[in-house]
Amino acid sequence: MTELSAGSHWVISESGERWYQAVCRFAKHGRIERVGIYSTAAIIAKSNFFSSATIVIWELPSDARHCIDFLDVVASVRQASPATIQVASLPVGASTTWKIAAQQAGAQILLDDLACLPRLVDSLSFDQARTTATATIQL
Amino acid sequence: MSVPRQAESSSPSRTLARLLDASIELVWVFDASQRVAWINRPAAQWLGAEPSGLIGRQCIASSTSSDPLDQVAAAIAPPAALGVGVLRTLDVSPPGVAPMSIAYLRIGEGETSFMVAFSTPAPATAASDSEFAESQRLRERIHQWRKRDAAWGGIVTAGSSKLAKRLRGQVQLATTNRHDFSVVGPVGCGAELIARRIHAITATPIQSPGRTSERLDVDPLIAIDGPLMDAELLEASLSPAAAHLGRETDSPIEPQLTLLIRGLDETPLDVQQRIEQFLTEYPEQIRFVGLLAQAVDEATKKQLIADAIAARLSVLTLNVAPLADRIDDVPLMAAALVDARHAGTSGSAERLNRAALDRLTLYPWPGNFDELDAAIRQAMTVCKSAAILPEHLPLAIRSYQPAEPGKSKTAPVETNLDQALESLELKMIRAAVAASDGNRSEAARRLGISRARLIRRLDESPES
Repeated sequence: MTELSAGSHWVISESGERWYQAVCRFAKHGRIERVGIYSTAAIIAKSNFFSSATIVIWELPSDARHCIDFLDVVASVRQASPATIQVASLPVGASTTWKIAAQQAGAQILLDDLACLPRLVDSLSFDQARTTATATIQL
Repeated sequence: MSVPRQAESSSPSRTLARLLDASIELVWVFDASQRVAWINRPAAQWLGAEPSGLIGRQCIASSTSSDPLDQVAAAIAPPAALGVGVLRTLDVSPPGVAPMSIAYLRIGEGETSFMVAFSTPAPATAASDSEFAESQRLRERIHQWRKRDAAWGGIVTAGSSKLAKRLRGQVQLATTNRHDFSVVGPVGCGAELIARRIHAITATPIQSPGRTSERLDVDPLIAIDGPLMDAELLEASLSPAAAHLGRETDSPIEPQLTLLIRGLDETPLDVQQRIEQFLTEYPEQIRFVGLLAQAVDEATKKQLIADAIAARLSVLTLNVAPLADRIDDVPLMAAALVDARHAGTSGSAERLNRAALDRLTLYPWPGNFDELDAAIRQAMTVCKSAAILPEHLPLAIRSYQPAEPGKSKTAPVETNLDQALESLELKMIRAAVAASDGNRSEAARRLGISRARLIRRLDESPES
């Protein structure tokens, strides 16, 4: 396993830019891309998305209807690109149901706040072929 | 029942109008045909219109009138088909006015019905609910930390990171005995706070003659700024320590104290030797604590610490990591600082909102814990409400924008100052020579340097 390096690709989907700034601050290398929820599917279609080590951060909205839309996309990313690490940031006070739903949809990691990101960055590692990524942290 | 004439004419409608005009909230009322029946002063001010200009005006959202007041009326029109007793909130943005969240409520049915509109922090409520949940979560973490770990080093050691846990373990170890120890950490890391905390835990009470309470005084801690010391100043600084250690007591235990040297690795060696001599004069009575910016071994290798002092400090070292390496502890530390200051009535703020916490998390903290403490102190002074917002934080923190990896915001800087200066000098000399048509004496005069220097620089240039 190799450490996270310049080949990694961060894809962030959020309403503001807090996660984007946090990734800029804590991820020392890699490409960062901000996308809208509905253009994420288009990015998945790109072949390089599969070949590089990708981490997608989803900021899930508090509104249930929109949250379901998000989880739908999370599930399609999971299906199309199982190697991609999907990180979900749930709204504060989100119920356990939502947490389970996010995990079932395909989000491997749930982050509470920005301060958890450095630990995630430190713990990410990819296999040599960069087709599988693992996060070895308990947040 | 007779009612006084004046009271009959002035109350209760005037009292109500006065009350609503004095409110900071915006309030207005529509009659059954959606005409403005009444509007309070803050609402009229927000809309930039006179109440008389709006009262009686019909408010229809689809109005195409070019009259500015009609446009304002259209902007504040109630939502269509609003049911009785249903409260609906809309973001209302009249032309040229900051948008506001307005709640509309229909009361009654038919021709006697009316609608009340009032400003509400409704969208903010959802946010504040989640912020409240976040602050509650932090409060719980503070409570847990207080219960379990607060004794070991105070707020500097708060947090759940590995570094914080390791530091608490080291502090705990230091409190189990009276060995000398060193605290190694960057400037502003809170090393002295930790040392003082350990001293406070381990210091023994002084039993003075005539004192009934044993806990009134404890052994003192004497702190000395090592880098500022010369022989004379050091003697003056050590004299209170000598006076304390040499005094007579009824107690069988000899007087003790903690001697803390700030910036030990920057302290002149002769001063360190005198300190060592002082420590030898009072064996067993002094606990020696050195604060360093680099590890004792490293400082010894660089001959920044006298060997005898290094030997004393080699037993126990507490490592305080830069705050930038403990970012996941920052929210808890900040919340604990706010809590402590609020409890000490140093401000009305009792929590940080999420945006402020985000700013604190993103900032790289070059000034470490002291900078965080100063930032919270400033925020508590500026903030007059319950929650600290980003605008209450110091400018450097709230305006910090991390750059994308690999994309530096500023142009690369020459790292070698001498090379940069030489390059600039040569560039100016060449320009001056060119401007003087190759006349080197004239070029030297123009530059205000000697001809010899000019020639030497040109000869030394790589092109020559």
